[in-house]
Amino acid sequence: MSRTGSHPADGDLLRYADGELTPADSRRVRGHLDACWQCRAELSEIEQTIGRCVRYRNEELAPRLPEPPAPWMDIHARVIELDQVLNGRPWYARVWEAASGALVRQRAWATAVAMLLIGALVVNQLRNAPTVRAAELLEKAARAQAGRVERVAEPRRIEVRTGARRAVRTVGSGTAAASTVAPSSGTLAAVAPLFARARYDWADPLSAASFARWRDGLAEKRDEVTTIRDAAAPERRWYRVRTSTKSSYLESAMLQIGAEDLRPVEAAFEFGSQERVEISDLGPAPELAAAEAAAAEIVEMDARRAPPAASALTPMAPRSPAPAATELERPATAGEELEVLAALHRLGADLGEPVEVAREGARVIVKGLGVNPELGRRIAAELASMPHALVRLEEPAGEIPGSASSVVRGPAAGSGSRWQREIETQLGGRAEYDQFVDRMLSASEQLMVRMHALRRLAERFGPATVAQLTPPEQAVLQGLVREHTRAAMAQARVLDTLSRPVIVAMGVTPTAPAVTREANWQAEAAAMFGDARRADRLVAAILGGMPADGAQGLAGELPEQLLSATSALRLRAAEFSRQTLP
Amino acid sequence: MSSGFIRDALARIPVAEPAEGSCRARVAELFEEMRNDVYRYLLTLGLYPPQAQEATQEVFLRLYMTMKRTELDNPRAWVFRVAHNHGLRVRAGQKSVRAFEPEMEQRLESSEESPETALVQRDRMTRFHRAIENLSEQQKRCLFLRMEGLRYPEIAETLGISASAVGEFMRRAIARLRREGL
Repeated sequence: MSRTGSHPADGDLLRYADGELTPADSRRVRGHLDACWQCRAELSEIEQTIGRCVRYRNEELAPRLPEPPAPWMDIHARVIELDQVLNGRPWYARVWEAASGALVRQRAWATAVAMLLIGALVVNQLRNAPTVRAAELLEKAARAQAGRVERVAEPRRIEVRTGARRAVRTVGSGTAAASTVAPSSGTLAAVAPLFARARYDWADPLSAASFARWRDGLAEKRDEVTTIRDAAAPERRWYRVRTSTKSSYLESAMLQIGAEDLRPVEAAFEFGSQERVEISDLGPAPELAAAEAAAAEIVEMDARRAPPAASALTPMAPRSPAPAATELERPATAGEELEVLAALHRLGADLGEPVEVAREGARVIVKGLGVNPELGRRIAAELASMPHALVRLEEPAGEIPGSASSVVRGPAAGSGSRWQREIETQLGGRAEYDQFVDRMLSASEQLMVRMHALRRLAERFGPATVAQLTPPEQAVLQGLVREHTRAAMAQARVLDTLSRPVIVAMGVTPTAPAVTREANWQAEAAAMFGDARRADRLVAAILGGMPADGAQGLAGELPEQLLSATSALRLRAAEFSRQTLP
Repeated sequence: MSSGFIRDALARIPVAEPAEGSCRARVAELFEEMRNDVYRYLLTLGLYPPQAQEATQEVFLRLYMTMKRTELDNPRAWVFRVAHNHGLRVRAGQKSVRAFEPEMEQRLESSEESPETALVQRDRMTRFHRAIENLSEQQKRCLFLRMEGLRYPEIAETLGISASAVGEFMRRAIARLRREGL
């Protein structure tokens, strides 16, 4: 616990939110929070995450778990039955019952009522993060726009204002949208490069999809969502999404979307060069023949002069086809996805990082949440040359420093299970035991990271998909699989060599596990994943979380199971790399 | 067992049980209120549905036996502690080597919501679910027990670790989930 002036120690904010600090510490944290915005923001994010967990439990997990297979017992009938049986029992059975009851009595401090806490969690879950709202709104609006485009091509006019100048241009929809850039015309010619530099789609700037694409590409951002009303007509409402960032030339962008139809009506952009550009929707383009709309018109004038008139329309230069768009009309291939995966692997971004890769239409999307900004930049740079790759990284504001690298400690001395005490005795002391725990947990964690990566590959590249790959692509896949397998094997070896002598010394006889062969490498990978997870759980149970009660019931079995799991894993992995990957 | 202990234990057996009816009613109430939570908790612990249901019922019968003799400060914490320990024993005895793993991802993908929100929702759900899956076993156990309303010392007692270790596991779990975003 730290003093009032400095930030609370790592973890104290969560303890504070959970009411687990002593009253004095709690007071100090409260005092600090009054003064410190940073910690308050941090606390609010912790509470948002707690709210997310509660939503996950109640709304996502609960409805999806299988229902109980049978009707519930009639508890009234059962307890009456139980009483009758017990009353007819010999006295020693009743003594035993009573004695075991004495053993499960609660400790005196456990008076706090959990219900209060649940209430607190429910209050927290009602808050919604702006990031989520912004992403959701934009996605909905983009989909609404896509729906409109499919139904009917609707060219619209937009007004672009910058400084004292303004211009009106028509943005078509669909294919015409990409063509409206007029490099030669005055105001717009000055504005277009700003958007290009910020990688914001100038072909269709007043659009949720363009906004979302720009926003998704940001390594770091802050979102703000507000609702505004028309003072004259309070039933008219709009959402205003504002995203600011330090990682783009476009430092701040605002998009105003109708609450009903999700149609963007206003946008404002602030660039690093202090330029400000505003865009408004002027409604459907009047009296334009389809051909003219497709060619897209541009109107330009001085803002001090008269408003735009039809005569001011000047035809734009014939459009050049947008190469990227046409090239990308076919769906992305498994080979392209593999190419992206291999690139991520070169950066180590496929190991334990919150990065997901998926094919969506013509794109291979790399999604990440809370990826460290430096890695985000490297990912974007690495994938820049791949036209089908689209990087969408989001940053939940405020990274927790060092949260990934700190080492899990075993439980404090004296609180351990009998395994912990026994292992400690075998190893010769607390310090040795701590070191053992650190190494076991770290090997287990690294093993799981590799196994997750391997399982991802097996899931994404099933036998049918692999058959579509070219021989060089297959070689790339094989290289990735081989590397993950080797690394996983190395960690399994560490687990095995560390634990085997200790477990054998505890009097357990190792038995050779039976390993069955699976039909293909994907199934083998899934089986290895199962072995690894079993080993991980056993390590956790033996070194961390095994309740004494359960350990009594399982005497002698847990370490034996661990031994068997690590041997099975090693056998399977060795077989796997020998046969499947010559 | 010392004779003093036996005497104590005998003393605890009520001669007449005037409170029996109210105790039954209380347990029935708790059963009604908590059985689904306990059942789901046991599923997340790796029990298959029939065993999870069986174990849940067993826990509440034990609760009745206990409440007849002793006053429980926090029956919810008691129920989850007993359910956790009993669940682990049942799981260890399960014939299948593999723990029950609800196929959440497939279920998430096949869920039928309005097409407009389904995509975004499903994506976020799958991501959060994966994030929880990727937590270490201890982190997950602490988190799930915390979600059931247990305090750190209660979780600690359930898992046989210290309360400060629970704090540390909770911190790491929340930090990881937070990085996964919302």
